Amino acid sequence: MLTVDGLHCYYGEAHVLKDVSLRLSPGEILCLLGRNGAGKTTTLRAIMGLVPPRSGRIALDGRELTGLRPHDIPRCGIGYVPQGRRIFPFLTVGENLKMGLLLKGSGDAGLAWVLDLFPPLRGRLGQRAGTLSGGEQQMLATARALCTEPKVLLMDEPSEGLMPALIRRLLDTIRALKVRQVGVLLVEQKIDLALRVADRVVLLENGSVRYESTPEALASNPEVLLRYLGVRR
Amino acid sequence: MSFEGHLFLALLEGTVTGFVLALTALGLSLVFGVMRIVNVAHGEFFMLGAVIAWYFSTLPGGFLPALVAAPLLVGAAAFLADRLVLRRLEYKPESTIVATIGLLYIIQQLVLTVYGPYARPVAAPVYFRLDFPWFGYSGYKLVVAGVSAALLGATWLVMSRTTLGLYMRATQQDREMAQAFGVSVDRVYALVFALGAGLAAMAGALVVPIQQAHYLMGLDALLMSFIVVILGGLGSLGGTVAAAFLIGVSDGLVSVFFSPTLAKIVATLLVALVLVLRTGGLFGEEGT
Repeated sequence: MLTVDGLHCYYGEAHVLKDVSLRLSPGEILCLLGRNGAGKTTTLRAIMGLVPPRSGRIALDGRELTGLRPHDIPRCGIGYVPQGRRIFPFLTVGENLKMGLLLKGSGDAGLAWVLDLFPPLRGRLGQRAGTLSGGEQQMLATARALCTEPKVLLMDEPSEGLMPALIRRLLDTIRALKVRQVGVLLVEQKIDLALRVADRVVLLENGSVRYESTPEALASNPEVLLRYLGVRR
Repeated sequence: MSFEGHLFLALLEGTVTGFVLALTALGLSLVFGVMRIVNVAHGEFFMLGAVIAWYFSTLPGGFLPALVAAPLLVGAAAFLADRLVLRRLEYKPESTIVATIGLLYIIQQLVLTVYGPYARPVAAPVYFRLDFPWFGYSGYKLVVAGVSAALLGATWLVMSRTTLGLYMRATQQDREMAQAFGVSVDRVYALVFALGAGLAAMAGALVVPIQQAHYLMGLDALLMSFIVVILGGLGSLGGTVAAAFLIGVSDGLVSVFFSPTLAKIVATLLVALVLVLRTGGLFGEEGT
């Protein structure tokens, strides 16, 4: 269980997260929704230790993560698929995956599982990651994070720039993680996609949590959709 | 001596210079690539290596132990400088330039105080002559080239085949993501800075029997390293090595057929020309 309690973050003087609290159970898919600048990405970066919170606490299975150095946090069982993929472009596909495998020391067994999830990567292990197509880079970013065998996976707009067939595949991957009891914290702009895959949705606005419900309840609440997301249904 | 003789000498000298230059500049290139800082004190690490080598040559053990001790001692000094200075500045580009300028003067003046203003020669640990049809050539220079080549190869192996090298390349490409995969960037930085300084010290120690040890010898090493690193393309180790040979061989040719002073002018002009035509240097930014 990932718990975020009363998180406050600042960029210089700007107060970008205000009292954000979240709960994520094993095997649960929680989707963070909100407009640009609402604080979705910052929430994920704060959990990864890349934006130090000024107050509040973050814990995984009761273990305090707040105050750990950024490189200790993935070791605790948190995987990260950042916005824009951010694979290591000059490393090969295999080396990118190795970055994940080294963290757990799981070696070839971990690799086999991940390559079964993303078969197109199998034949490209020796290729420079920067030369992959956008869809393949997304697979690699997800695969790399899964190589760390996370208990919780943070995904920041993984569907960005993907064609529909690849989005379906992404949803299948997320559901496969659910079966393995991995909790997924998904930041998503595409509301339809979020409603299809999420167990719960949280709406952020101006750095605060404004609404939390099941996807069904959100879908049947046009007032909230319009007010916080500007979506008319 | 015939034209072929001169040409052969020029190419031979140029190749030896290229190897030494590559080894001298490699650390600067590595530090800039991975840490994004311009280490103005790089030449002083080279000079420290040379002075330590001279000191060892006066001891009963002789010169050879210096080839192990100089890089280790200088690497340790650099490790301390990283912990005490650079890390506290959070590796900000502007602050670290100023800080390493300070480091340059501290090291230089310390050596002047302790070692003095003399240029001191060191006898080559091995002495043999290679006789070519036109001239005899110092065997030690070829040993220097050979050891440099071995160290360049070893550095390449570390960068491309080891976990440490993988972490260095990942840190170079995306520092935050490296952290998100458990890499302690602080530790990588300290190691890279020590390794870069150690390589320069090794180059300094190796050339002492050819060049003599002097407290100002780091300045020329720094200038030549900058030329090579910029010419090869910032952040590219392969580019640095290629540029070292380009500069080395052109230096050899111009020195032998014209004059050594002209050779330096040509090298500087070459950099200016490359920067006008290709802003990123010959090889630009790449991962290794």
